Amino acid sequence: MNEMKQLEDMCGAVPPPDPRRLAGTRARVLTAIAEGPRPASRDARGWPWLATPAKPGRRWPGWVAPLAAAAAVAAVIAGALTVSSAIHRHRASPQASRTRGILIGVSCPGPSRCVAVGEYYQPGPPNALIERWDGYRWSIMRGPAPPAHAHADLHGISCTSASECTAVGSWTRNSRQPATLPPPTRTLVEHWNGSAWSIVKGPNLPVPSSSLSAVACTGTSGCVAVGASGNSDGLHVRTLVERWNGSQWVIVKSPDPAGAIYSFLSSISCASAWDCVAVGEYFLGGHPQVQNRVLIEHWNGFTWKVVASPEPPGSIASYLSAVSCTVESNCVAVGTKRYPHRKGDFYGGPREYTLIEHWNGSSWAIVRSLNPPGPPADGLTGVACMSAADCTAVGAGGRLTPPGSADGASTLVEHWNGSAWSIVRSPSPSANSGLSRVSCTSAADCTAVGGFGDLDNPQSPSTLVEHWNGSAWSLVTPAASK
Amino acid sequence: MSDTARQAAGHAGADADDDATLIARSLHAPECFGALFDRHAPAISRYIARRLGPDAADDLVAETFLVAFARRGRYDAARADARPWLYGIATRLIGRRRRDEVRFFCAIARTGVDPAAEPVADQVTDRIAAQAASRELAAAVAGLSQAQRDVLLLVASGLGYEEAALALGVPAGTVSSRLVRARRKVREALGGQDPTRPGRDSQE
Repeated sequence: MNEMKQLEDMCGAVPPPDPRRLAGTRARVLTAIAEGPRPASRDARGWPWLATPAKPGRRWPGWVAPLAAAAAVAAVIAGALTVSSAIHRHRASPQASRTRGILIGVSCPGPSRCVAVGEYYQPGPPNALIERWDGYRWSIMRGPAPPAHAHADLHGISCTSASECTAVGSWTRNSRQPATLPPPTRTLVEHWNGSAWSIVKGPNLPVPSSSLSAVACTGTSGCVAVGASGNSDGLHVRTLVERWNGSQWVIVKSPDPAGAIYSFLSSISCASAWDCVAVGEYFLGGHPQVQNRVLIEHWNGFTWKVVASPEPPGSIASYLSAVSCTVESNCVAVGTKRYPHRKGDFYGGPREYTLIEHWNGSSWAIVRSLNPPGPPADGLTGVACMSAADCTAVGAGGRLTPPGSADGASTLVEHWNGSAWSIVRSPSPSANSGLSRVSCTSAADCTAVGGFGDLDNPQSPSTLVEHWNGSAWSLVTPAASK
Repeated sequence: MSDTARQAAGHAGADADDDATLIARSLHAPECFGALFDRHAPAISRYIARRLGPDAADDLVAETFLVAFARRGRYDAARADARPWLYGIATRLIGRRRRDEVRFFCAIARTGVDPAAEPVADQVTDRIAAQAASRELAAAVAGLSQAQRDVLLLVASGLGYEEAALALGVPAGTVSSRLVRARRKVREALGGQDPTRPGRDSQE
């Protein structure tokens, strides 16, 4: 008998796994998936540090790490490198400087005032996180907790002044149903009146899951929030738009692209109360090789309509994660476009590049964007425009690695000067860093938030804040670690 | 319909979908990944058990599918069969425990007892013969380089050259050359049998 046959026999002699043990392993896997941190980027499937499929109800990380332990990240955070890291939690934390979490949204109503929201990872399900910059330091803001929640997260925030902020996200009630079935998720709206945060009751459609991902406020009596609602199975998901009319939140009818089994709005920007643009993605069923497509919708003060948007030629997927409008005729949306893998380039799978589109008042067009050198796994997830000649986009530049190896990523910042985008140097506190959102008050004052983690322990990210002073980006040190 | 029933109904087509479709669906419906687990975990478990022993298989199967879940956004949707992808992940995770693997095969070589295998014979003589064969084979496998062992055991586990190449992220030609070298080493360790001629002696 030749050796190959012997080897095959040796492999074939291994009995099938015990069904009970395998069932136990299955439960472990699905529980870990269900309970992992869910940095709620709009959709960052392409980049490793925040590869989160946008989905109402449950949000899932791309970097759910196997069997992660907290020690590695604790060591990183405790090291010389400190970043903004503070906890908003529903119970006090004794070590605010050693926070595991991620910041997903930021809004700066003035140069000395910013509020950022996200998720805080404690042992167990994530909780909502709110931090405040008062011009000198970042500090924790205490917020209310939804009743009997299993987890809560805040994804978007809009502040019109230091005493007027609205944050949106989702929360999930404790559930005893099997881990294979995600529990129902509800929208979460919190309001800051200058002295305290409170939960604002909002409407929910009669569907298992709904969540809000972004909010834009044009004044104390006008806010619009976007997201999605639908079945927990991820199919038959529809765009969701809610509006604050000054006294209550109401659902506003929003369209979905024809044939979409899934459509999701990630971001919204309003040039005025009568002119808003929301961006996201949609997904057509039955064509696994044709994945997500760009979705752009426009609010004219009366109705929402889907706006024609260009798709990157040859891409197998594209999606928009953020939008910023300065006036009705100037909007910039950023995201990611994906192309098939190159032959022989199995390691990285599909290649992903930054995607930027521009609205000139009459149509959307793709603008040439840049990508860092190296195997592309890049994406932009935040953008802030001060004028038609001054926009800042943030995200992450990923590095492709073989399956089974840990991915890596660096923060990515690009700037538009009115004629071209250029990459701006930005610090990355670890080999796995990324920025989610950015907010600017002037050409010399931008704040970007995100997270960073350890490649070997990506399930335990830490919050990240960086600041642009007009000449350079720098890490912001949290007051809690001083 | 209750929420649970509605959610369960969403999984109705999972069995009929190919792996790429399941993975694409899991981007929006993570629970769909359970169907991928059901489909491939038994084979991945056997593969890992063969290389690290049954005790290590549970943890590594879980780790394999969690890594796969984390990277599902990168899955090439043009590939309907996810086996090479999953075997590749498992192989790289096994690679992190290469000392454990060598130790495992050395233990088989030393004792003749293969914890991963089913008892193959009731007859004492058959059992002794089987133990002797497994000892030689295990010693030979333990003596291979990690790359050679990867190729050899992937192919022996049922993957084709092209699939093994995908799993390892190397060209098919590299798989072929590694396999030739690995088989030659094993053949020499087993006494010079010809690997290319099943059942025939290389000296003929």
